[in-house]
Order: sequence, then structure tokens, then C-alpha cells
Amino acid sequence: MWKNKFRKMTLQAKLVMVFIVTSAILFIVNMFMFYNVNTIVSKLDQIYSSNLDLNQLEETLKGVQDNMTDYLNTKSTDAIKEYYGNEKELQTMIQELNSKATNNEVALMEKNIKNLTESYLKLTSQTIEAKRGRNVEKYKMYYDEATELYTYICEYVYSLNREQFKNNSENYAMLSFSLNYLEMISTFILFMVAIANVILVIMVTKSITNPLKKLAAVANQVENGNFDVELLQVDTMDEVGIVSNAFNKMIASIRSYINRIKENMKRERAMKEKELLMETHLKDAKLKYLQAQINPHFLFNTLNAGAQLAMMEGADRTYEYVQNVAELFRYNVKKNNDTVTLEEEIKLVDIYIYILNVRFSGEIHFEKRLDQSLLHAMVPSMVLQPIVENCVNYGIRNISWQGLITLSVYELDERICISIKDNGIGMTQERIEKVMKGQLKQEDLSQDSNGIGLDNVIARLRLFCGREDVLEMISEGENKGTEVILYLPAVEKEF
Amino acid sequence: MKSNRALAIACICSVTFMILVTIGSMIYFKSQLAKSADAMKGMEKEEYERHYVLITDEKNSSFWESVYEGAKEEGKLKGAYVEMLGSNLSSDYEQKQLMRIAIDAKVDGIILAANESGAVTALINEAVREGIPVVTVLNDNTSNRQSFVGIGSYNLGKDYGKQVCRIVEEKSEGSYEDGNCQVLILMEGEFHNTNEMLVLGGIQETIEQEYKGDVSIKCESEYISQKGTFAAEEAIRDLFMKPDLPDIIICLNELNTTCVYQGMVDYNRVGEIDIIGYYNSDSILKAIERKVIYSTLTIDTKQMGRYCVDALNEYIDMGYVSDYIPVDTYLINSENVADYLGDMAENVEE
Repeated sequence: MWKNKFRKMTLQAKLVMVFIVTSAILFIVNMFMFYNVNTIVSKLDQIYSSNLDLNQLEETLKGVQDNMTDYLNTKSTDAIKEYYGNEKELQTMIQELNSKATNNEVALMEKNIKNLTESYLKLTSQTIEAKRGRNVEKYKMYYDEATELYTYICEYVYSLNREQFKNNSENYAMLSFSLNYLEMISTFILFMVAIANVILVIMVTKSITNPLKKLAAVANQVENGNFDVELLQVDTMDEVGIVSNAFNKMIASIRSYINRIKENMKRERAMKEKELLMETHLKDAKLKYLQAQINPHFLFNTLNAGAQLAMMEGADRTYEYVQNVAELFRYNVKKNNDTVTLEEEIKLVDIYIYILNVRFSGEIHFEKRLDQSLLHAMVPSMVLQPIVENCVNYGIRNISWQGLITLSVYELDERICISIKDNGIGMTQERIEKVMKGQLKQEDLSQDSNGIGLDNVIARLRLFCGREDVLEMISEGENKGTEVILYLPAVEKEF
Repeated sequence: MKSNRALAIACICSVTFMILVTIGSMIYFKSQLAKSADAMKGMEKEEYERHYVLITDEKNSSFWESVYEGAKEEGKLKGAYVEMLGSNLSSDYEQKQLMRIAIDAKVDGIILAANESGAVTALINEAVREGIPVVTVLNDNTSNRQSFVGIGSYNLGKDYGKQVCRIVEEKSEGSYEDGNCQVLILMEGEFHNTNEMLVLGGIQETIEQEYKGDVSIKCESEYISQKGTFAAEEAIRDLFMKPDLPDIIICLNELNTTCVYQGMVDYNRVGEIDIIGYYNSDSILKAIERKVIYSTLTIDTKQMGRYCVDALNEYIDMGYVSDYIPVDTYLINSENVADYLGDMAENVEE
């Protein structure tokens, strides 16, 4: 119950409570000290009041005696008046004295004084009576007796005073010692209470600052990017507790946001992967389809059989044609993905042109200007044929004039240059750039190519040469033909 | 949660600690204060039903102190407080003045070591008239007093006489000049005290009856005035100045005994005179041990005090009391003095 209340307290209330509790304890302790000091001081007062009382009694007694003597001397009314006043006072005074027999000497002396004074007062009143009755002998006798008694009483009062003073001095010493003692005890208590208070305050303030320290430590961790920190334990409902709760909520929401973002990214990536996979599969399918269509060995063997048949029948031109087609396929089967000599590549181009000329009735003119010394240079296979194919398909296919393709091999700046030039429709600069960057779409490519595009050639040449400027396309405009120049390293490459 | 509980426990502990320290110190201080309050003078009080006074001219002698002690102890048991009247007054009053005070202070009973003067007799009678019972002790006064507590003086005299006979018999005959033995009896006061006369008679009779030797024993008495300060001492010193000293001195009170003993030492008369003393004060016992004093007769002083209080109580309660109450007497000489000295040592230790 109390603990719950303490937990729900605000910092202010806690601090105020600690202050009040400690102050209250100090206050109580002080009250106790004051009470004790007062008790002792009042005892000291009591001690000396008894001496004062006795002195007064003696004064009054003296008054009675003097007044009586005065009256006996002068019989004056003033004297008798004063006598009665003093007598009355003396009567009341002795009423306060002890009247019981005790073993206490002081009290016993008081008893004696009281009784003696009573007897004395009886005698004085008898004296006054006798004086009034003018009984000279009697009042003289009474007077003597009273005076004798008076001296005894004075002696008693004096002795009692002395006795009391003696006792009181001792008592005073005792009480002042007690006072010193009390001082020591008070200092001790205050010291102990102060220590306990300091401990109490330290503990309570620690209970306030510790959660703050924890909060700061966790905040530092979060700052360093660790969102997986353990949530703060909130025991109290004070200001620190509220801040800690808010902090916990903040961390929780940050975590959930991060999770949501992560999930979204994951989903997006999955979708992209799927798309890519689709494309790859499509390409794969196309390839498989193409492969299935053309089995080069089968075609080569079949065509060879056809060539032999044509030879046997004496059809020499058919034989030659079929033989060339077979040669083309054989080259494909043999040299695909391999390096070959430039000569072999040029031979393939020759075969290709021959076949095309058979197909298109000699429409294509093919010229070669070759530097024979460079023909043994090694080049990647299937490099020239695709370029020539492009020349035929895009350059000179649909032109109205005689198509001409010029192949020249020469050395320039220590590099072998292979130029393939047509006199076809030419290309715009934008199209050239597009081609060079490989940005032509699939649809733009012709359906009946052998599948090896220009970008493939460029990529393979770049890999082969180890440099970027391996191919140049030059066209002076529409209908002005196109020239493709390959730059190969001049150093002969041999196996 | 854990730290909270620990905090709560620690808080409670520290508060409890503070309270315990405070309460503990309080209790400790109170007990110390109570102790010192107990030790405070003039604060303790015990009430008694009756207030008796003891009046004597020799308040400070150990004899009367012992009597007073006995009376006080008995009074404490029987509900009466006995005051040594005048002991705490700064002036020294005479017997009759003290009697006057006692009567006017309306005490419940008076124990009086009386003398035979007429003034005292009158005062005793006045006290009795006022309804205050009076018991005389040791010395009687022929008055209306209720009772007398003391030793039979005649018997005391007989004891002294026996001692004289013993001394004379023990000594060889030649030790007395002319075969005469002088015995001096020191009496108190200026009057012919009845008691002392009885003692004297007892001595003389005993010597006559019991002594069968050849030495003639002569008894003389001398009055040593006890009135006036230092009178007794001076009178006794005068005795030693006289040319012919007695062979045996008999003292009838403590003061005389001590004075004679001291005088004998001072005048270098040890061994020449035999002293028969009275009472068993420390110095007297030591003197017996050293054989300066031959023997001493003593009475049970505490018993005497007790009897006085009992007599007063009996009179107040019953209305009458026996006229004479005897107190036991003892003889102390060199043979049994060790016992009494032992007692003394024990008392001192107590």
C-alpha cells in the first residue's frame, strides 16, 4: 500500500517527503532535548526558591518581634496594626512548612520551626493581651519567654538556611553535571540522526537518479544505432517514470517502422528477381528452340551427302553451292567461341557472300584489299561474318543500285585495321550511337540473323583486346554507305 | 521492483535506527538523571508517625552517638523518628534550652540524659503537663518523668569495687606506700548526683566486704565539672599537677576516662596509676590493649537507645510504662579487649 503510494509519487513529493521526515525527526529530538533542559532548569529554580522563602519568613518573624516590642514600648496603634499584618503573614507562611515527622533533617527542622513559631505566636498574642490588660508582671514574663523563643526560631531558621544552602550547593553541582551530560547526549543523538538523515537522502536521491542514468545509457545505445536494446523497466510513476515510458514507446514504434520498411524492400526485391528470372527463362527457351532447329553436325553431314549426290549427277554448280553451305556450317561447328586466324575469318566471309550471291543472283559485289602479311593475325571467331551480315541486311538489302561490300585489311598506328564498307542506305549519327551503346531493342533486330548481334561482337573484341576502342562505325549520311572498322592489336597472337 | 523494496527497507531501517538511538539515549539519560536525583540531598523523605528527641549535653561523644544510633534504628522499626536535638543547629544549647525548644516544638516524646538541677526538673514536669512523655536515660532526675532507662548505679558501684579489689590483690604489698591505697573517684557535675552517690556507696561497700588483705584502701571522690566547655579536661589536668597522686582512678563517664588516660600519657605516669574507666570508645579500647587503662565498665549503648524508644512507644500506646528499665553492663579488660577491638574493626569496615 505504502510502497504503491511511494511509486506513484512525483519527484517533488518524494523530495518534500524526505525533507519533512528528516526534519520531523530532528524536531522531535530537539523537543526532547529542550524538555530535558527545562526539567533540569526548573529543578535548579526549585532549589533556590526554598532559601528565598526562608529569608522571607525570617524577615516577617523579625517584623512580628519588633512590632511587639514597639507596641510594648509605646502602645502605638501603628505598631499593633503592623503586628497583626506580620502575624497574619507569618501564619500563612508557616502553613507551607512541613508538619510531619520524617527522617529528612531539613523537613524535620521545618516541622520544628513551624511548631516553635506557632508557640511563639501564641505567646506574643498573650503578651499583647496582657499589655492591654495592663498586667505588667505577666506581659513582662510572656515577653521574656517570647523573646527566648524568638532567638531559638532565628537560630533554627539560620541553621536550616545554612543546611539547605549546603545541600543546594551539592545539588547544583549534580544538576550542572547532568546538564553537561545532557549536552553530550544531545550532541551524540543529533550527530547520529544527521548521519542517518544523510544516508536516507542519499538513498532517495539515488532512487531518483538511477533510472535517469539507465535512461541515458539506453539512449546512448540507441544513438549508436542499436535498436534492439532491452526496454527500460519502469517502477515508479514519477516524472522519470513518465519519460522512461515515453522513451520505451518511441523505441517500440521505431522498431516497428524499421520492420515495415524491411518487409517492403524484401517484397520489391522478390518481384524484381521474378522479372529477371522470366526474362532469362524466355531467352533460354529461345536459345533452346534455335539449337533444336539447327543441329550443325546433322546439317553438315546432310549437306555433304547432297554435295556428293550432285557430283555424281554431274551438277557441278549445285555441288559447289552445297559444298560451300556445308563449309559454312562446318566452320560454325568447329570454330564457334574460339580464336582463329584472320585468313580463316575472311574465308568464312567469302563463303557467306557466295551463298548470298547464289540466293540473291549475284547482286552483291564483294571486294577484298588485303595486306597479306597481316592475315595470320589471330582474331576471335565469328567476328567479321556478323558485321558483313549487318551490311547486307541493313545496308544494301533494299537499295536500287548495285550493292558493294569492300573488305580491307591494313596496318595503322601499329594496329591491324579491318574495314568493312558498304554503299548502302547509311546510318544516322543517333542510330550509330545507339548501336555502339547496345541500346537497340530486340525487335529492331532482324529475324533471320544467325543470332550473333553487333553488341556481342563488340563485347568479345573488347575482352580479346583488353581495351575499349575496338570498333568504329562511320556513315556520312543517308544513302552514303556505312563503314565499320575493327582495330586489333598488331602483335601476332599464336597458340 | 527489487531496488524499490530495498529502498523502502533501507528507509525504514534508517528511521528505526534514528528512533532507537533517540529512545535509547533518552532512557539512558533518564536513568542517569534518576540516579543523580537519588543522590540529591534534602530530597529523600520517609514519613514517620512520631517524632522523638534525644537531649544530651555531650552530643558528640561516641557513647551518646551509639545510644542515638540504637534509638534511631529501633525508631525506624517502630514508626518513630528520633532526632538528636540541636545537632544541626549552629549554636550549642544547654540542656534546659533544648528542653524548652523540645516542648515548644511539640515533639511526641523526649529522651533526656538528665541532670539533677531543679530547672530541668521543672521543665520535665512542664513537658509532662503538655502531654509530652519524658524518658530519662543513664542519669535520672526525680521528677514526673515516665521512665528511667539506665544501669543500676549501686550495681555499677559494686562492679567498680570488685575491680579495685582485683587490682590491689594482683599487686604485691610493697608497691603501696605505707600500705595505703588511694582510690580517687571522679564524679560528674557540681551537685551530689543521686546516681553517683549510689555508685560511690556501691564501691565502698564492696571494698569493705570483699577485700581481706592488709592494704588499707581509702576512697576519695572529686567532682569534675562538666559544665562549661573544656572544664572537665582542665580539671583533670589540675589533678596531675598535685603532688600526691592516687593509686587508682575510677572514671564514671567516657570523657573523664579519655582525659585521664591522655593526662597520664602526657605526664608520664603510665604504670603508676591504675585507671578503671567507663565506656568502650575506640581510644579507650586501645588504651586497654596497651595496658594503660586497667579495665573499663561499659553498657550496651545501643540497647539503651532501643529501650528508650520502646519505653516512649509503650507509654504512648498503653498509657503506662515501667518506672525503671535496666540496661546490661560489661567489663572489658586486657583479657577480652581483643573481641571488642575486632567488633570495632568490623564496624569500621561496614
